[in-house]
Amino acid sequence: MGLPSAKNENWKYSSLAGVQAKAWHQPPAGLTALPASVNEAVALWSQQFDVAVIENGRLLSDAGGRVSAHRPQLANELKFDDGFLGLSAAIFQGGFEIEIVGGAKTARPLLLIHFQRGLESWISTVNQVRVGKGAEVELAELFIGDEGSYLRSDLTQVTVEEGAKVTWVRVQQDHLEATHFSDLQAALQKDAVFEITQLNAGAAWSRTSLKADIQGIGAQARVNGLSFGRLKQHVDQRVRISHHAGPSESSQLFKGVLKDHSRGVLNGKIFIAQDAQKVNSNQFNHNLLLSSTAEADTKPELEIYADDVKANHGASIGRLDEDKLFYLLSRAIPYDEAVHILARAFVGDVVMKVSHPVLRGFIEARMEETLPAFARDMEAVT
Amino acid sequence: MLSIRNLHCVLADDPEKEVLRGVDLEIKAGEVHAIMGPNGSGKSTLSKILAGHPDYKVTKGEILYDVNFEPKNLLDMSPDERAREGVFLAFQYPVEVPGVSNLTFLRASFNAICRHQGVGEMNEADFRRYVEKKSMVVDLNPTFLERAVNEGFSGGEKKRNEIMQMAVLNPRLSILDETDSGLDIDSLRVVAGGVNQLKTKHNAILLITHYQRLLDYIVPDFVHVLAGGKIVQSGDKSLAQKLEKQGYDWLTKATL
Repeated sequence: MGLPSAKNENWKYSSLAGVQAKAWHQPPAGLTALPASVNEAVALWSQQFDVAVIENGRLLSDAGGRVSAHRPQLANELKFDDGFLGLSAAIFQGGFEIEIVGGAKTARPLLLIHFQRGLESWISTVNQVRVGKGAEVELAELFIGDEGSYLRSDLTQVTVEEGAKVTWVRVQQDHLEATHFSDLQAALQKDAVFEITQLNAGAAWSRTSLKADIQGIGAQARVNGLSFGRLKQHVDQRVRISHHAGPSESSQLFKGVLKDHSRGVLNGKIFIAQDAQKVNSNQFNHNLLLSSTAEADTKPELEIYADDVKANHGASIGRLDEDKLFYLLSRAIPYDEAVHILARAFVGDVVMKVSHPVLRGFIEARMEETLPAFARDMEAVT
Repeated sequence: MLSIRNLHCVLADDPEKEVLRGVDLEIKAGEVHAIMGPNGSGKSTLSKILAGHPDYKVTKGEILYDVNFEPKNLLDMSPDERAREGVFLAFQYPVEVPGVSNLTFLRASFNAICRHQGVGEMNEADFRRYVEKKSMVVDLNPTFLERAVNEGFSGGEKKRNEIMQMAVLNPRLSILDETDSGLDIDSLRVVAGGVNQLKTKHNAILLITHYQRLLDYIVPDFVHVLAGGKIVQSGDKSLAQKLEKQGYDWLTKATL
């Protein structure tokens, strides 16, 4: 298959040249203590979550047995639609598996902290989450790292069985020199509910794919995202919702805040198969550009073969509202803080879509790690 | 406290369009001034320039404002600096800010001023009690604190909210830009009553209005008529009554 180039429509906005130019290697072996950033996050979030720590793909702590290390044969069970993912799976070094048995409802949400370090190291992980019939689970993932110039590729396969409900947040705050790839594919059976909210704020270059495959009637996919780009960050987000059964529902709300020379890409696709009637789906993408040099590319795609469906989509790219900004300034609020408040308000409705309060609190708190940098060093207003 | 001298200004994106053509105005602490004038005379422009609105560019003249008993050029200060030094503009059209609660907004505002004055910031619980007390000044239900700033507020509620913010921030110079417009008589009475409660001998109020009606409730010490970008007549409150009876024509014609 080979690595995809810009001629491939799916890779039009994101070049793999940077990945190919480096001599990637395995991170150095041997145990060094985890940095304070990880230990502090564990201490803080253990109050509300069962926490597992995964370092360079290796499971260090298993959240009281709720997470296990991947089975090596897992990589063979995955299907890929492009060469990069295939390569990542072929060289995988680790990953995790989570199995929620049918009917289980766990009291505490689960947090996986994915910590990576090692200059120019490439860690590829393959993960699997299975949520049994009627079970409910809440998951949070945090991607962070040290010794920044690493590459992470993280492939996750999710099965949500009949009537099961998954609420998930993924926070990508990888080191600002890192390269982050992730690909998450979820299969939704009858009446399954799959809610995922992704925050992308880290990595120099990232490409995250969220795919939901609706296979059973009555299933719902709610896929939402927040992205923050600054400096020269490249934030490529891909979403594909496939309705193979109807009635079923899906919604997407993505918001991006971009400044400096950053670039945000959203490629969101809704596919509705011919016999998937009475599908209700929507997709919205709104971008706030805080610098004239920032760029947002939004590409909605609808591929619909059924005739009795609803599919709405909308996209916008705008600047900070001068009237609102002046109103805040006229009330003594310093410029940086005013931008901070308005940027937070802009993304607020995405945060509010996180239905579980603990997960919502988590994503809000992590967002506050990112936001102040956005408000600082803004272009001066006249 | 405020000394405006020979102020000229143009629109920032149309420098050919001169809006103010030599405004002079002196305001001392404890005084209430009213600026009246026909539509398009530059009344609102003057209020926006005082607050530092980016739509206007001053081409001539100066605005001196006392900071720590020293006159400072207001035009050298950014809008937020001016506000921290006690300049407050009650907007003619208060801005809706969806996604930001009144509580968040007011607290950020109040704390910015506290920091500037070297006073400790108030915690959320104390601040809430403080604002609830202040909201009584204009008879606003404290539940408004949880709502987004001005979003879904009626015209009257928006104007009350402006005066409530004035009560919370305790400014030295308050500029009320057509605070009476769009208010029914009951709301006007409440809003004016609020302003009167906030009046002290240490602060000054500049009322911008088209109608004399407001001045029955907030009685000015001085009334000025702005026409064609200049103050063409000044007097006491009887001038407002004369304008109410005779309109602006006799003044604008006289200047021509």
